[in-house]
Amino acid sequence: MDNLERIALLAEMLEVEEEELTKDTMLEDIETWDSVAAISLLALMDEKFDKRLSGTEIKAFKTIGDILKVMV
Amino acid sequence: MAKGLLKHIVIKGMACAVPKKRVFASDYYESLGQDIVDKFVSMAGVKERYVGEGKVISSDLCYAAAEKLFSEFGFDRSSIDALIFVTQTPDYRLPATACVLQYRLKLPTDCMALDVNLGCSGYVYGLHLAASYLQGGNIKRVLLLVGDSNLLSSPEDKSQAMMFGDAGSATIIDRDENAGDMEFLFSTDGSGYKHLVVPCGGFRHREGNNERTDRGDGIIRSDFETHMDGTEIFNFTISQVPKALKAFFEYHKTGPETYDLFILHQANLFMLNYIAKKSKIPVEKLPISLDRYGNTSSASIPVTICDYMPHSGVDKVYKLAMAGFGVGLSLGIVSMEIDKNVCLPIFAANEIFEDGLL
Repeated sequence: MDNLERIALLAEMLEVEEEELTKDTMLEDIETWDSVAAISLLALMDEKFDKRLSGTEIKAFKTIGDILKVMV
Repeated sequence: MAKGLLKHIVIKGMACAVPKKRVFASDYYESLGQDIVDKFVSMAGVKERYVGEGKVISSDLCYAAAEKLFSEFGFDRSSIDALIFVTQTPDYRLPATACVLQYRLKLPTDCMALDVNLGCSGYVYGLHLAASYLQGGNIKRVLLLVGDSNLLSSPEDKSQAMMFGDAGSATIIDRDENAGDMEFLFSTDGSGYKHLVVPCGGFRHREGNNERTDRGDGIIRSDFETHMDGTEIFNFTISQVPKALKAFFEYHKTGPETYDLFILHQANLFMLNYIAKKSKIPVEKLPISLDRYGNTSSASIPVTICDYMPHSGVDKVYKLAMAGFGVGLSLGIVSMEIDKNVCLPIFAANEIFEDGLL
């Protein structure tokens, strides 16, 4: 999976246009990045990458790029 | 390996009682803020539930459900050989509340009675335990009471305040040589004990801080109230429950198509939909009760059955797969047949037992 596909998954999850997200986009600037999105991210990580993120890891994310890094 | 088959088991009656007081998620608009409430409802799915507020408690609700079974189906009280009470909110530290219930229900003194301390997985454990008793042939009828009162969550913990509802259930299970099998699979991961725990009030920590303090993330609770690591519980559920269902299907050589309905512990709507999708369970096979009853802990499976059957069930014997999962961390899957006509509609109960102790 390349970064474009990863961004597409995150854009769908956050209900924003793909063009609005770059690896430097700050999560605090995305209105839909909230506790509901965090749950959706846990499900996405499980479904697509068979990976479990901890609450601590999620809290440490500052940018879209931080999330892209774990999507492997 | 805790998986296999138990034979000759039939459910002859099932009833559920809830307290009279109904609360709505919207009641919290002022205290928690509309935004927070609406987000919670969209994710967790709980719009309303019933609460006993510490007056009518688990044993009272289970008592009412059992009395309903006696009055509707005319079961002979003296035919009960064993009473199992599954709860994490018993009346006392001791004696076992099951003994008090034997007395309240006027069951014969030559019957067994015991409490089982499990939550989310409690009903399936209770069914399996009852069925195990029935294998020998000497115990012919078990009364299984399963229920919980939501008195351990802090009302100032925004992740829990609107989630849990109170309910009590009663199920009569018989041995019947002509009845079908119970398929089962259980698993336990105690390394997750910290993720859903009431730290103080047991005997590990009898003392603690009774005052509510800010734990961050909108959680204000005392050491005597439930700590729930939502992320860990969610991760456990979305990965382990589909895995367990897959192992269950493989062991019993069945699949989602084998069962008429899947009755899952009603923890969280997003979680349930995700488990169903991952396990290829069609959404029409997944009844939901948590929108109107909340997460009723150990009682959520019988609540969902008694919610579904009288209103949406057809006149037939259903093959149900039931899965309870959560606190422990504990997980159990049990399948058996249930006749729609033995499931009574959920009703409200208000009778409180006067124990004469204080």
